[in-house]
Amino acid sequence: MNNRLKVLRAENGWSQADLANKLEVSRQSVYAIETGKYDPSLPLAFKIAKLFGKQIEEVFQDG
Amino acid sequence: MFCEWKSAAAKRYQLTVLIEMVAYTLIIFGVQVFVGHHHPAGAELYALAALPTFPIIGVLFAVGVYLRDEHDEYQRDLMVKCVLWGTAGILALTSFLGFLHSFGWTGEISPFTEFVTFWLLVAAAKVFYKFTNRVPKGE
Repeated sequence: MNNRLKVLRAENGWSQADLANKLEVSRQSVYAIETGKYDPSLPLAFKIAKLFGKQIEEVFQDG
Repeated sequence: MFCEWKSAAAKRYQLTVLIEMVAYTLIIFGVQVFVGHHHPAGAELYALAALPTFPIIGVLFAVGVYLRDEHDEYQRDLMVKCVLWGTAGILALTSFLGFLHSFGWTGEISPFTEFVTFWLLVAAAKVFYKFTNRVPKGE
């Protein structure tokens, strides 16, 4: 699954560590999601979208 | 667990595993010495043979508690993968040895090594995933 996590993070001026702290996960987890190594669960995907103030489809795309 | 950041669940898990592994080692040596000196039989022998299984169960219970308490789903996923690799490895090894015995092989492997081998395999998997999932600096 593709995602715009890195772009959205940059728009907000957040590092991976910042995003990890806000999501209460490890920086490794954020990196794995950004690089497509790991697809987050629905609750985590919603949490990410809510954090960026976006709809989930604006953050994650199928493909 | 697989990175520098450690959650509260990960810290509790590591402490519990450390305690259980120390207990396992002490029980193994204690039982070996006791059996060697007193040569128990029957129910007493069975009870002594069962003693080392308690820290084994304790460690696997700690894995379950970690999976329940860890908030980071990616770290949970990695733990499951590592334990699966350890399980696959030790099942393959014990099956191999079992078949050797059934084919007439008379060699012996200490039962102490099975649990240790399982955790060595889990540790090897952890090292592999830690290396392949490392975050580049500057990200």
